[in-house]
Amino acid sequence: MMTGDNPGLSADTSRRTFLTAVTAGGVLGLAGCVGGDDDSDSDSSSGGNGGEDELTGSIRISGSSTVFPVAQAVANDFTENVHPQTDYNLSKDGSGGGFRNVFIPGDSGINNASRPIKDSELQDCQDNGIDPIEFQIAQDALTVVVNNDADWVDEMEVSTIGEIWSPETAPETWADVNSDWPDQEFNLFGAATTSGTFDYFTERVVGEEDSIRDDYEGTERDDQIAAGVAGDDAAFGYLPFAYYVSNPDQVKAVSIVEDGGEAVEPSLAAAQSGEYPLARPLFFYVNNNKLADSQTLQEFVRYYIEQSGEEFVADQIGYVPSSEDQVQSNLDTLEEQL
Amino acid sequence: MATESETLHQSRRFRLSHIKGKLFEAVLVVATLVGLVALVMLFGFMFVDAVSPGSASAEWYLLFFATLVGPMSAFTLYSRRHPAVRGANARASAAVFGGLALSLAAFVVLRAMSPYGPLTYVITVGGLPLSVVAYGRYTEETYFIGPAVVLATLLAIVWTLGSEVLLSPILDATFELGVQLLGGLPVLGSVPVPVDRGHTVTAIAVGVPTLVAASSLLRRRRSTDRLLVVLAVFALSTAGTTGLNGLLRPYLETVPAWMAYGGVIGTPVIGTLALVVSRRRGLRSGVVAAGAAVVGTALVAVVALTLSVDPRLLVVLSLGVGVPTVYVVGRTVLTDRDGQVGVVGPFVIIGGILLGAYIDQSLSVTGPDTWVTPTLLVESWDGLFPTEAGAYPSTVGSVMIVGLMALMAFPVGTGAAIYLEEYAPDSGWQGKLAGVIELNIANLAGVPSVVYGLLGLALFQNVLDFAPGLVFSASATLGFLILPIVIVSAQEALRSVPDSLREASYGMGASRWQTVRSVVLPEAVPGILTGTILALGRAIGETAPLIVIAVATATSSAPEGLFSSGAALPLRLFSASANFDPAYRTGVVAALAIVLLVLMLTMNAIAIIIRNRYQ
Amino acid sequence: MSQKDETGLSSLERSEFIRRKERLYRRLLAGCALLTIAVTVGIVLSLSGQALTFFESVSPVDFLTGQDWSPLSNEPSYGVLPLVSGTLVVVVGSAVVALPIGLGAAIYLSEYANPRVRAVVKPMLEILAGIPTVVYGYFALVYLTPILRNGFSLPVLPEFVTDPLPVVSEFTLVVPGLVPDINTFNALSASIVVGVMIIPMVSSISEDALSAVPDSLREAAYGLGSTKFDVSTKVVVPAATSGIVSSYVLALSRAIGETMIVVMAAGESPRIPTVPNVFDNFTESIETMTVAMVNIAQAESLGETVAYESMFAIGLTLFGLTLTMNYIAERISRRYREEY
Repeated sequence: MMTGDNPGLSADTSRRTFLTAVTAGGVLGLAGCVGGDDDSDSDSSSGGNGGEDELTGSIRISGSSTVFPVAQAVANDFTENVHPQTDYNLSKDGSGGGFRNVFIPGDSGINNASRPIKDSELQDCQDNGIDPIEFQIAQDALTVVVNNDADWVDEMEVSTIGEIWSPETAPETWADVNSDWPDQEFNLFGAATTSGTFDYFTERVVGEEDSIRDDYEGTERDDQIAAGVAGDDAAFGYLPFAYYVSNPDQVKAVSIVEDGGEAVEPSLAAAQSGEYPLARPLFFYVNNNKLADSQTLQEFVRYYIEQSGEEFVADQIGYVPSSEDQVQSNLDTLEEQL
Repeated sequence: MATESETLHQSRRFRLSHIKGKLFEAVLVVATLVGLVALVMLFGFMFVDAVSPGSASAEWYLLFFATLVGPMSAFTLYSRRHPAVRGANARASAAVFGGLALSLAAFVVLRAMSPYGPLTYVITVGGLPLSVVAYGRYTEETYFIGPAVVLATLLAIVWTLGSEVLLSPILDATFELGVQLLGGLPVLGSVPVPVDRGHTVTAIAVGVPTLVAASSLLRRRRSTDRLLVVLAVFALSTAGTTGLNGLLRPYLETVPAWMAYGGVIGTPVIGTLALVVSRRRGLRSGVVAAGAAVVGTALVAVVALTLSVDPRLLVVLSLGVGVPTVYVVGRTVLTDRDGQVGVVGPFVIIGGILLGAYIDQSLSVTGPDTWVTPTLLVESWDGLFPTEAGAYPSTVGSVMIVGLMALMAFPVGTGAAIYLEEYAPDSGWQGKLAGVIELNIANLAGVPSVVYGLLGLALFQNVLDFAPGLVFSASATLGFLILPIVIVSAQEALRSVPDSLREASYGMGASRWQTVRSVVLPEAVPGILTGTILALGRAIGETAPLIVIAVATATSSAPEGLFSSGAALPLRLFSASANFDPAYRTGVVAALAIVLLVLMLTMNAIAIIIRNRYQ
Repeated sequence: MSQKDETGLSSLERSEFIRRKERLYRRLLAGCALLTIAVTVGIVLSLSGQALTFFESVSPVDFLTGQDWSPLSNEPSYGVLPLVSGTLVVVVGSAVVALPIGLGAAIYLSEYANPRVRAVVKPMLEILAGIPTVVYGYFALVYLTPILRNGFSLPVLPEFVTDPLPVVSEFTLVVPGLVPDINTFNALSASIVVGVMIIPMVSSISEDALSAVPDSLREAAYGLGSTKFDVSTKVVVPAATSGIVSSYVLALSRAIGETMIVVMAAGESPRIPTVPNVFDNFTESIETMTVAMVNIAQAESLGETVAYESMFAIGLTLFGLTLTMNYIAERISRRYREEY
């Protein structure tokens, strides 16, 4: 399409050719682009029945960053291997953030949460005509971490941790809490306020919901918590077990003592048996209207429930999988809804 | 004198200032080197992490050098001494690699969107303006072809989509506004408006175009062909009310998919081929060439079908790569004696890669333990297993977003630059306005990209009430971002066209538009394209505005159309760096970074090549 | 053009149709140019609209002078000072990196380098400007911070040479860590990388300004017996001041608006800088205005809340800042501009 080295007329022709080619491509590109939009399926959360065996449609999932890895693995498997005509759209908004911004307005079919739905959120759902269905899947062993070089502490009381993070006491240095500890200022890392982990932590450890000191570094990106703690001797943080166990040499996990009992290291076994004080259940909530309308969503919820009892949840991610009884009871709840 | 100069050279002050000068130069060299070292470190570290060159065996390196690097360097050295060969090599490489890149981009976008929609539009938007041009040539009234083609293109788009899609909301809004305004008046407000919305829409959609066509065409001269045109307008506008789309799609969907791909890609390619060939050698040769291309592609498809291979990609490649390559190679071989060897250049590279891969497989040489694998480029994301992670949906999303953005920003930017350089007067209120516009553009170029994100958020989500994070919103937001850059570089390109050319054109009686279109623009287009491509390279890497307009960071499939949720490669990188598994954070992200860097370097290289080739 | 076309006009007159066509094209092109004004108007309207709503809930005084930025906590406070000082820290850091190096490279390329070196080095520096900022941010977080903390050692030879010949494996290049106390998320890495990113802006524009100084000035100085050092520093650079200063200001305004590098590498703790020990500010994590905006955008996408509106208020502040800097650049360059 480009002419040779003859000057004069051919040079102009080559430019003209160039111009023509570019314009032609451009105009048709524009046409093609405009033409694409009426192919996309209309409603993003409902799924049609493209035929008896072929489920189609898109599943929108929002919510917790803690549950995110499980949801992603399940959704990926479902849309790639089980029903290849479907696809998913998964976001990490935090349990509270997901409820507020996506689930309650009716934009997502499923909201993951690392703590139970709040009464106010339930009320908002019902005001919007949504009756969320709760499914409890998996368990997390919330891990409290310090820097690898922090050799002065191996175990802590739940109440001590609460004291460190509480806005009323908010001690400046480690020594303020325990005189055996060094006189270094705290460098705190934790979950952002949109996060269910934050809600659980404040309620369970600090003692009052939403009550936390304001000079900590909060983030929705749990991997940054471990990285942050690894970078400073005097650092102190909490994060979901999955983000600790994937790189256990990065930071040191603190064993937890409750009410003078035994110091329990965070582990899946301890969480499952109930010994670990900071074991917490993980949930997902389903929009009942979307469930009734979409067979794709129904199949996905069923798949999600079943898969949350599988080994990969423990081996690949780091949470306690649902027990068989739990899976069964979830399936029963699902059947009742349908 | 001799003694003085001896003293001069021996004097301490001279020696000190000499040392000072050398020291200063050394400092400057160090400063320059810092920048270069930073660049090398950046690329080096990421390359090592993504590709781990240290893990490849010596045999692999030997193979690499023997099959790829060796022949390529030999060829480059040879072509350096023969400019004709270099020219031919450049043309052939452009055809092969450029065609490959564009074909792949088109293929993935069509695969994501389904080709039937674009095919419908290609038929109508291609067909209608072409018939207008043909009619103009036939009646020899060529001076109205310009605006008529633009009008025909717009009408084709509207009619395919369905004019009622546009008219209904406008009509509704007007009615509501009218009711609100008139409701205040005592008498008129209580009169019910006995108008059926549906029929009004149809009446407007059909009546307006037909009446306009009738009045303008039949006014001065009535003849059968003009009457036929008016009837055609009537028929098209009627069908176009609900949308030609709806009429044509059912028929088009009976066509097998590979033919649809062929139609969408083939129409511009074969059309351009026909135009180019017919300009050089006459209409018949053009038609013959086009026919040969169609037959060749059909053959490829038939062969693929008999071998039970999916013909779609092959059809696209044979049209997008095969046709230009055959044309370039054929022309060079036939016309350019000295440069014939040059066309071998790109094939040396491709052949080397294929040969190396074949030997690698059959002898199982240990290659580098790289994260940049085909899986990364072709599969979709897997959150659990880093080796299975793929960025295909994000890549397609990026291609769509950047492609649409280019289509939006390039015409508007070039148009604005043409106005400011060619049309705007230097004095008077219009001159002042042009000055204000130029100042404004300079300011816009410095605004941070997050602020453009806020503009996109406010415009698309709040005002227009779109869903968050659509491909269209992302393209428009990024389009606003690069608009100042495009305008400034287009202005520079237009300024570099010597005034003597313009004066000569005016002297021959051409109007301003004729001058711009035929004299100035062809000279300036390479410069404009260079600037636009550099701006595109920057836009590919923009992340912050996309985050602000809430483009999803985790999607499983490529966007299906303009108004579906977007995805972008840098966003994928950003979210992968937050994955709980550290292998993602170091391996996959490094690989994605390398992919982005390669894309950016390629676009820079293309821009530089265009600049060097045409200036 | 034929002698008499079908409309019966004489050959030098354009037909009404063509005149109308010309006018139409002119208007269309003017429309394209006016669109840019529409963009600015759009930016100003969207920013100030939401910002005004925001200022109904939070007083501008509190916003501009408050020292606490925590929009997403249950007792939110919207003081922008920590964000502004975070931005300032990054800008100062990147200026320290980019301005000397950029100017040095510019002087070298225009005065000392031979044309072949120039033809290679200048495009290479331009590449620095085109690298996507996410990649820079990733580089700062994953490579630069550990290097600053622990140093690095580079094996000079690859594995397949050292394995068969163990004698040569001892050659490694070791660089010690410069700032061992540095936090994982810190302002220093981000500032350095932002500085590297804006080097090409300084060097390209300054080099153009330096090259534009006419040779007659240089010749005159040489004629008076100056050394090359004198010519460069006392004649050429002062003559090109306006271009150099405007390149500085442009680069800095780019640094102000930089988002992704800081998001990935500098963390998110809004803090007021500590005055006595200035360097500490760089080893800690900070939050800039742009990072705050991105964080809110990720958390609050619905649009009814005060936090969402605060994003626009910060945007307005940023916009005002960059506009002011552009204006200053314009004035300075006009004032110092030498006409040759």
